[in-house]
Amino acid sequence: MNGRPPLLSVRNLSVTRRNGSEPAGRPLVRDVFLDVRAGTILGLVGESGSGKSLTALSIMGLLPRGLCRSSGEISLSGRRLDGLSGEEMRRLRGSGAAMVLQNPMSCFDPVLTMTDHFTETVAAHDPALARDRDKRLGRVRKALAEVGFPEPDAVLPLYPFQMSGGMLQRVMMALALLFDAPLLIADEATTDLDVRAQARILDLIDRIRRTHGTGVLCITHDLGVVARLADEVAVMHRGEIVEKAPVEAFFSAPGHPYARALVAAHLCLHAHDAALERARFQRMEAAS
Amino acid sequence: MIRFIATRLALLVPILLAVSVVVFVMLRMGQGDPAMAYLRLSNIPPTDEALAVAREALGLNRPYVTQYLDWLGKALRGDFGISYVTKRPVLGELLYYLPATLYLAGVSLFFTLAGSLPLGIVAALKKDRLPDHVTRLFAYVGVSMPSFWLGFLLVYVFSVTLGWLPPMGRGGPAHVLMPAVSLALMSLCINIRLIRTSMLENMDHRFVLYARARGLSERTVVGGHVLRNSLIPVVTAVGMHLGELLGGAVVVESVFAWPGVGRFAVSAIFNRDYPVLQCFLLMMTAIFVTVNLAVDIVYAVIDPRIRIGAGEAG
Amino acid sequence: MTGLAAFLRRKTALVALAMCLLVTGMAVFAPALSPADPNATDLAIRLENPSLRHPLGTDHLGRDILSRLMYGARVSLGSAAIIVALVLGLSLMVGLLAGYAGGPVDAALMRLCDVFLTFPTFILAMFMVGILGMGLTNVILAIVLTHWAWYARIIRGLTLSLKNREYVLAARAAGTPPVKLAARHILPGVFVQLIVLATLDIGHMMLHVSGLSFLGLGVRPPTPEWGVMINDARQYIATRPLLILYPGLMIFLTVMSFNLLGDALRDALDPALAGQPAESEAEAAPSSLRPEVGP
Repeated sequence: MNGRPPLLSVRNLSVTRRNGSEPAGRPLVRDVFLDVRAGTILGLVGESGSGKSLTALSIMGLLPRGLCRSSGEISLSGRRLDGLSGEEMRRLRGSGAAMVLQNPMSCFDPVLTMTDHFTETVAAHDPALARDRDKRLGRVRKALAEVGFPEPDAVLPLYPFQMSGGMLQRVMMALALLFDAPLLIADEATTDLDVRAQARILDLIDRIRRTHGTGVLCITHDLGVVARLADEVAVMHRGEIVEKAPVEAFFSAPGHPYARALVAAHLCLHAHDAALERARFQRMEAAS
Repeated sequence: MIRFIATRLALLVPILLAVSVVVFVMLRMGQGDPAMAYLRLSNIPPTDEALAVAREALGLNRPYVTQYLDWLGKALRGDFGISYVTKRPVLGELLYYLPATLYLAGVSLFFTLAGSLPLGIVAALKKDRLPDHVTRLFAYVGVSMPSFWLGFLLVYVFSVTLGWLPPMGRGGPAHVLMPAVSLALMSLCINIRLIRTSMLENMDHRFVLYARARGLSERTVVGGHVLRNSLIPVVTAVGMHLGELLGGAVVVESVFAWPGVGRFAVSAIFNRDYPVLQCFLLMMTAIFVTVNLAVDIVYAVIDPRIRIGAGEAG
Repeated sequence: MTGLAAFLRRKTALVALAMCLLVTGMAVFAPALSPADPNATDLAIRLENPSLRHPLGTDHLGRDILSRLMYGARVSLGSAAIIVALVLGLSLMVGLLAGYAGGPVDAALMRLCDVFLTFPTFILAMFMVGILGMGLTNVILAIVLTHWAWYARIIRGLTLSLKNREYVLAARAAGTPPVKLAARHILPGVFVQLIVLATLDIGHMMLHVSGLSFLGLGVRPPTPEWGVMINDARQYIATRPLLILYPGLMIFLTVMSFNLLGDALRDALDPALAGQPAESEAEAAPSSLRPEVGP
């Protein structure tokens, strides 16, 4: 890897329940450390409840009421995040770091169109641009085209219920691209999608990484996604990082027992498929 | 959406017909002998002869279906008969008193909405803190209070003791204040709880998280997304409130001697003035039905899922 | 946390329960508890101030107010309870039948409900009293007939959702006859919600009964009833305002206690409904709104 400092650097991040304004109880996330370098993808894996989403939310300053970040040093592009005020964090969200979430249908306001969602996002970061209708629409159309909508104007007037999960997920990506955020956090972005839509989103993330140099924190429980996308892998288990390795090393020689169990389970499920796939391709090649 | 409205209107017709049948049946069931009642109120001695003449005149010897159709036909033309007491056409009498009731109900509805919106929103935003506890206590109290009792309490404080407000009758704004407050309190408190619950549900919704993740300000998130989605059920509740206000107005009108249809209808009950009663019921029901339909239409307009119709996924 | 333990743990619930029991006890044991005959008039002692013999004073006919309040509980609370029982009984039959039988039976019954739900309830009740005649029995009947439809709908909905649960399907597959099926498997599921609804609505029914009685349409004099007592006292509002205060206060406290009790029961017994006031179910289907709650 290169010697530049990482885009996102997280050290000693802990999340605990909050009692009043004081932390209380056992930490849900403990001493998490991770780095995301620009132009690379870090896959954060673990089962449900391991604390992956909480980690992402904590980085973005979006922890729900009742939880707090009890410790942690977070740097984005060299700038410390953990001391920022509420307003400064707000300005960062969507422009310095963007998120794409799972279950996209529930993420959009059911009574607003796509246009409305884009307009308000632009207005939150660049009011002048929001007021200039043509420039704003130009930027929006460009983002939509990039995520695979050749006719953006067909999508803009739609309401969320009129669109499929895959379409909405791509719109989320477009929203993330509006201000060219250097960091993209994708939290289980493919979980609710059918296989084709999944593939599209994964390709899209990869392409954005290449063309924009975005650093991606890809949170998932699916090792297939990790294999496809990640350059580096971090494994979370019960709130702690238990393994960190480049992707090939992770799959070929996982160290921590939990990581080994994960890889073994994954290969168990997929080795069979891989063999079938190979056989089918060979037949197709032979036939053509 | 046109289809939605058309469907609702089309469904309305058979229901209204059924309603008219039910009213007619109840009317005939309850009256005992309409001829007797008529004679009594006209101060004609109910001899057998007089009864027979009255029955013939009132058309009571014809088959029920004919009577119903005749009654329905007249009703559709606005002819609900003559009041046994005032001897004038019933519809005209009720229409004379109706504006006062509508005025009272309208002001009460305004109080309900204007009062419940800020209180419900504040209670949701400051959940489990003092403003929330105070508001919820107030809502509990208000929902349990009989409107007529509240009316008298207000009269005692503001008319008898302080002399600030007139205790009865219709007149300027001072006259409608206490009646409207007495009438509005129940709906106000129900609405406060509705708004509070609605907002709390919406604040937990994932679109709030995503809106924040995009960098939207709290003002936009809460004042825009949450509020807009929370108010939708409130709109549909307006119909329910109006039904309650129309009913409650009857009682409040009695307390404050407010010259509305309610008070007139109560005296009609004492006088067994059946034509007035049936027209009263039908009129109030018609108003209630119309308002509910209007509310449904507004709801369809503001909620795109209904306006455009689900099932157009791309 | 659900269940009886949770319920008992909440202070407001306990206070509400105590209050409800107090009022119920007062109604049941009025003959034993009241200091005097509530209907004994004595114009010599009319409108007297509180004294040892008449702890709350006397009304405009010289009757002891405290006794009238106590006996009034029998009428006000008693009729509300009867109404709730009748409404639940009627709507249970209709709702269970409609939900379980489905098809044309369901459709017909629901259309019938729709018709009744089209009327504003208090006004329909007034009309019924008007044509059936005044008096407590007719008031009770009228309120029952105007309110059953709303409950029938809810019970039908519950029955529908329970009908397709696994344990019901299993029992059906085993050949259980329909009535036994309804009684053993569906009714218990519906019952809990019913208890909650019933408790929440006793207060509402009481407001209706006392409202109609206040208008003079309910009990015949001299029967004591809290709504009627307010009407009797209205001419003395300037001179003896307490005569209006006491009966209204009884209505208010009783209704509030039952409302609190109902809410606490709901939170304790059915967490799925917890956090939502009963009125919010009205928002679920715009065309079947609960017409109104009470005067």
